[in-house]
Amino acid sequence: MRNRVCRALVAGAAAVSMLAVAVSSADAHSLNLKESASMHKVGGKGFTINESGNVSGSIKGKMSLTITVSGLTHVTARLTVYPSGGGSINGTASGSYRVAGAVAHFSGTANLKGGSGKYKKASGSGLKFSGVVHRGSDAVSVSVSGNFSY
Amino acid sequence: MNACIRSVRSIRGVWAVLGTLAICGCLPGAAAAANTASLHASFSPDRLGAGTTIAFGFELGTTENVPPPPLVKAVIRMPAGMNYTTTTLGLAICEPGALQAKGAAGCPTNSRLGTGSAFVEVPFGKESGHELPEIQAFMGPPHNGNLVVLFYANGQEPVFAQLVFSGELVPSTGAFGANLDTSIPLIPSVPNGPPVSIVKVETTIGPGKLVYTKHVKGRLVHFHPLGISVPSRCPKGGFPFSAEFQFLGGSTAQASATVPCPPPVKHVKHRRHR
Repeated sequence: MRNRVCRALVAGAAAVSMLAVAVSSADAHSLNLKESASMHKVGGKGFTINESGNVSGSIKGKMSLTITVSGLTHVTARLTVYPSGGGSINGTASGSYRVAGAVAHFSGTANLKGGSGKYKKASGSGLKFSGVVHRGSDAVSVSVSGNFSY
Repeated sequence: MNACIRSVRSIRGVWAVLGTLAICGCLPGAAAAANTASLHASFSPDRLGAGTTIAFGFELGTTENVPPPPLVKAVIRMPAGMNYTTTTLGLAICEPGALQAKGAAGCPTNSRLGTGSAFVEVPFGKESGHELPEIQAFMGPPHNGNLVVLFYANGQEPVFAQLVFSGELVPSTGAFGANLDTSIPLIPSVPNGPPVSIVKVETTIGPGKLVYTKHVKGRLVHFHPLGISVPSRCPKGGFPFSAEFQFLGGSTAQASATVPCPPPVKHVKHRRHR
């Protein structure tokens, strides 16, 4: 009798966990991002430039970007994408930075983590991050590409 | 050494030999005299966080009061915290080939970074020194991701030299944020002649009196570029600069300088009038 109860409990638990996995995989989305944005300077201080602009690609919406140049050749960035459908996706990036006349090129990797709305579990690492700073105006063109899930 | 110079002066047709002699110790400063160097630097304007023109200069000599050997390398170390991000200096790139072929006219206006001059000693005659009145600095093509400063020296008489040489701004650590590593070619005193000794250099990197151009709605507009910014905080004792010089034959000299911390900005209290 006790064995039957035990087997029933185990079977029930397995069923529940399979259901949970099914629900979880139904909720999780993965996306191959290929975003690009043209941005303009909205502020900044010292080694930091704050940018804002429209983003297009797999997700359309707006994007804010804070770029900080450290040393002469290294850049870090914080970015937030605001998809037009609502919510937001947060990310950080780092890479190299080099000035070449009227422009400065940067490239490296970005990690996306968290956000709001349906993107609150956004996650992606090692995405490709690159762009150009137009030094005369501080306008920035930036692209982010790679896989992420939410 | 005087005997050496006298004998050399008697065979002016073999100037090229002197390059070799310089290495073996016949030319000024190459004997037992120790090399000496002094460095000075300043910011204009001298305000924390402000875009500025960096002026620096150095003098080279020897303990025997004779000119030093020809300079072949200079490393100028800049203080940490200088902001190269917001400067709009060097919005165009000057190609070394164009600079060599056409002089300063071969480079875009927006590639100009600064100006300067140099004094050199020729290894013969009684003249005390000659000025290379025109040294100009331009933004060159980047190398290994680093900023490159191209220097153009235009000497006509008696030192005939149109020289292009480059300095690479290399990231540094500690009290210094970047090193301007400059290799200096041997400057011939006369065509195919022995190299001169650089004894003094004054130069600026910054907007100073530079005027750039840009097109705004189809019109050509002149503007002053923004300079490299002075750090927003001054380290105790001031902003450190240092320099290391390497001469033909391998001898060296070091010098350092400090730009004092600027006085704090006085905030004027505005009284409210009723």
